[in-house]
Amino acid sequence: MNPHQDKPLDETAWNELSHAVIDRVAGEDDARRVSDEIAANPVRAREFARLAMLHDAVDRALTSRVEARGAAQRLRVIPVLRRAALVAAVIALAFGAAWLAIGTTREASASDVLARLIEVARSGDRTYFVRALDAGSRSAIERRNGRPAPSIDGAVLSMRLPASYVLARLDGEGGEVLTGSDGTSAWIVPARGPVRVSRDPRRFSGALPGSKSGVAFVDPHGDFKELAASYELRLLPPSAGMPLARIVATRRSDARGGPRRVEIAYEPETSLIRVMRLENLPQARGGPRSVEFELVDDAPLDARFFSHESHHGADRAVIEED
Amino acid sequence: MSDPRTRQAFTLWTQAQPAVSAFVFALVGDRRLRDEILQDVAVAVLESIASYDASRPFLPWALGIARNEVANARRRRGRFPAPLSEAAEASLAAAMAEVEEGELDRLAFLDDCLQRVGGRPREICDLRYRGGLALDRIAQVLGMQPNTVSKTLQRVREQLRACIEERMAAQAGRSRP
Repeated sequence: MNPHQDKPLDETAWNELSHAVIDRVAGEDDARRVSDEIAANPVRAREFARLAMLHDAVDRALTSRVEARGAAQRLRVIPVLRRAALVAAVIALAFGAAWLAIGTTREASASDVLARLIEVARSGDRTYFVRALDAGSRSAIERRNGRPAPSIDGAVLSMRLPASYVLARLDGEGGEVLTGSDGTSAWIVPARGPVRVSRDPRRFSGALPGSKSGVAFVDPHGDFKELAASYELRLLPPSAGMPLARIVATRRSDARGGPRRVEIAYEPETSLIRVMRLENLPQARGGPRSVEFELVDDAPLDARFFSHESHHGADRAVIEED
Repeated sequence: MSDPRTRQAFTLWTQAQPAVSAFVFALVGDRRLRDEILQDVAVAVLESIASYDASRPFLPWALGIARNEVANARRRRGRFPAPLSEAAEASLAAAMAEVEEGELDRLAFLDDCLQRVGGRPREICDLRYRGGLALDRIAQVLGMQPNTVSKTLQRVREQLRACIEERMAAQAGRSRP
């Protein structure tokens, strides 16, 4: 006999039945009671929404390693079905992407692998989707002049190594803020107001996570040797269900600055980097503690893409700073 | 990816995705089906982003697309359990849009709180989520009553909620001048 049948639903009974409905173990009558409550009572609807978010988040947290296999396989179809893969990449990113725990093996060739990754990274244009891994916490939301600063979470970063990049972020009001460099000058195109241009190619690059620490693949002006010099490198090979290999860099105890740990997932056959994660970034200048970059496009970009003129109208005011 | 509208769609979708995922999960109750539908929603969002009115909140618009995609999946696949009436689905979508922001703040503490779950409850969670086993199968494996498994999972979630509230309160205490 159902203990909740025909009784008014108190808080305990409501919680039990809501969990049971989401778990798909509620009987038809109980499911109907929950459904009727949600339809008629906005307070209960909000409670159910909160529970549903908790269920989904727990599922994601505990299954992310399993999901990573499918996500990594989906990412491999980029050349065939680019649009679908872009979507899969976003989903894979949101699901925790390609961080599958596999057996570790230490190999002497970590620096050789790194050198190859660098060579391939410099061979063409790459576009990454950026996610702040602590984006949900209040501490990750920075404010500037009382307003939320443009967020790195959800940003899109296009790079042509060694020194050209465009970083697209949204400001607190949903306007797009672009910063970039063509290798010889740097610029910022805010959502409103004049465009600013500097002859210093490092100007405006502070928004790039890791940009101050010379971390490979993120600092367009940095040196890839930094990883090998300041970090212990470890290779993790692909496994049966996980086609991506990984290189894990852990900061040496005597090294200063930079993220404490860097993890790069790449295709072993092509050395193409798919995902990179920077963990425990220095917090002195604010910003997220950990960020993840996921490759969403490797198509060549227009030759003028890295110049500011490509990103605003001809009538926009441009201020040259120096 | 150089198209600003596409970039904006990516960003807005990424921000909305946890709530849309939870909404779809609540409606279909199956992880694999949820993920398939989410892919369809993401494609539909990108394809119809031109029709999105940027002066209005994105999440309710995305949840509307999600409801359509769940309905499409029902038509394609025939029947799968639909625990909520249409009116309840609409009410839940509205509620989801209201609570989403606050819940994301709370769920930032989830990983830490999950680490506190140990022993038999953890074992049940692992079988349920990592192993993908149904509750009655878990009961069979562990030699328990299905009702006990169900209640244990409910207790774990309530403990997680309490832990998250505790962390939120502690953080609020730290940030208070």
